[in-house]
Amino acid sequence: MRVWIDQAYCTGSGLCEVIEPRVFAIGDDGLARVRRGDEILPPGPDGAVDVPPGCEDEVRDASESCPGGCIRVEPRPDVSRDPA
Amino acid sequence: MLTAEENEVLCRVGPGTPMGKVLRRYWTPAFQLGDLPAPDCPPVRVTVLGENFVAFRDTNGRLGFLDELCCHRGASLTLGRVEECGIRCLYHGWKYAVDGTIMETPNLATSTFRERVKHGAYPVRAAGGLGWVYLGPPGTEPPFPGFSWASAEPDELAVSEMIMDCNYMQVLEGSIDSSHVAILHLDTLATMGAGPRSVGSFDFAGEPWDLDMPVPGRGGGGAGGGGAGGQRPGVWPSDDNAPRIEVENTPFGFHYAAIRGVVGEPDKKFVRVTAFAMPYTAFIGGAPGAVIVVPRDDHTCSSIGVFKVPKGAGLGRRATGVDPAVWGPEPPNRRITLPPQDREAMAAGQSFAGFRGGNRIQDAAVQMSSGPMYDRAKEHLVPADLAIIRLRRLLADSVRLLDDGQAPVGLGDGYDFSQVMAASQVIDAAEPWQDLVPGHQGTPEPRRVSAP
Repeated sequence: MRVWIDQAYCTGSGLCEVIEPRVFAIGDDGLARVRRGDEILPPGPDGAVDVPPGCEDEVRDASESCPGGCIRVEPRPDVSRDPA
Repeated sequence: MLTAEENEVLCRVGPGTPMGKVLRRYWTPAFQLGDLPAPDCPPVRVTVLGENFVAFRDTNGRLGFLDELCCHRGASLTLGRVEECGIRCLYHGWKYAVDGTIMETPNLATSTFRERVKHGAYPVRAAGGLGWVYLGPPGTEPPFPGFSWASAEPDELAVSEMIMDCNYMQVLEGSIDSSHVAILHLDTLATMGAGPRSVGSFDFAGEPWDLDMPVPGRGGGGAGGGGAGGQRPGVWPSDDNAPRIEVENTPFGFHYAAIRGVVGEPDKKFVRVTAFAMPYTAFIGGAPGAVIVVPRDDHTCSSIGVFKVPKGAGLGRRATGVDPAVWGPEPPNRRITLPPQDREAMAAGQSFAGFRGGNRIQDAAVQMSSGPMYDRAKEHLVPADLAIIRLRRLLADSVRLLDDGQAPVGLGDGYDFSQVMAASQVIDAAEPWQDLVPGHQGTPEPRRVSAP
């Protein structure tokens, strides 16, 4: 699962960061971004991150609850399955 | 926000609906025991989860909860005669026992039919002034939630049922929504001499307005010892209208803490812990009992308060604080008729909400104002709504689990429900709020049921 923020629709409520601070952060501009560890990524599809294991449901909750509807959740591309 | 489809799943409760199937897997408080006061008294019609039933008390005092319509030709058993250990249909005299056994069929001489057919009957338990029924498949009853007040004597409980014309989720979500308390109910806090005195740019003028309002701790001599408009900060020692919410799942549902700063004491925090027992019951911090929200049908629900009171205090005019023209405990008067909003008092700063009668009237006003079934595609949740998000998650998980042949969440197998309690207290900032609710058994990481 990958996630990114469509900041044009972000309301800055901070709900996503409250639900899953390991993935979401509110930037200095008061709007949401996604994070990879300590790194805060730029908004938009270019700043998409793979959702860390164990955070998928929280990310889904945040996306469903987001007042701006700006959290874009996508299936992870090119997922290769190890036949072993 | 929810999609229209998700909202429908959440709100519709009739037979065969996803949420209807989930709610039928819990014990449901369906009627007031006070409505069936004596053996062979008149029966009552009960609508719950979109179906109609008849409740009655037989000659031996046993409670019966049956499908409303006679299984012969469908006349309502609520018209029936309750006599000789059963309820008899007026139309052709068919008579039923509390367990649905057909005792007599006067217009059918042979006994084979009576032996082979049973009328729809459901398990009933009496507790906390309420008749609780189990409407799920036979043999799937979960443990009965014996809350702390379940064994209280009838004269130690005040049971107040308000029938509201809106979907149950609007009321249920209000019962786990701490951030509205010091806003919508500012008048109550002000009358108690506590809490914030402003909402944004609105400033309370200072004089208690609704003196009939039922508020805890207010004696006969004025506003709770704080005097008219005076501060009594121990009651609600915070002016923080944006509490931080923390939620943890428990065996019965979840606890959530609304955490606020304390005026003048930066090393302290004011914590209100609400215990939510799936799927209807909220034990609210600072209140001596619980609010139970029961769906009657998709557009009607009952908000039932069960509160411990001094022995014999009952539900007098003083205790309800509500104008009988608006609401009363008697069966014909339970449906809320909202009073006119007092715009004059609002303009004068004497009232924030303008609705007399206390918190539950104010709650009813805003919750019914969203219409018969609110479309959550238009909402904008904020961090203060975290408990509401958790409730929806548990309900959605339960729908998924049941579809998967498993039990829904929060049935509390092996849990002692008498431990379920709420709390409201000022504690040290570093102290865990979980310590306030000893039966917590919570998990910071919620039990999750992943969507496919």
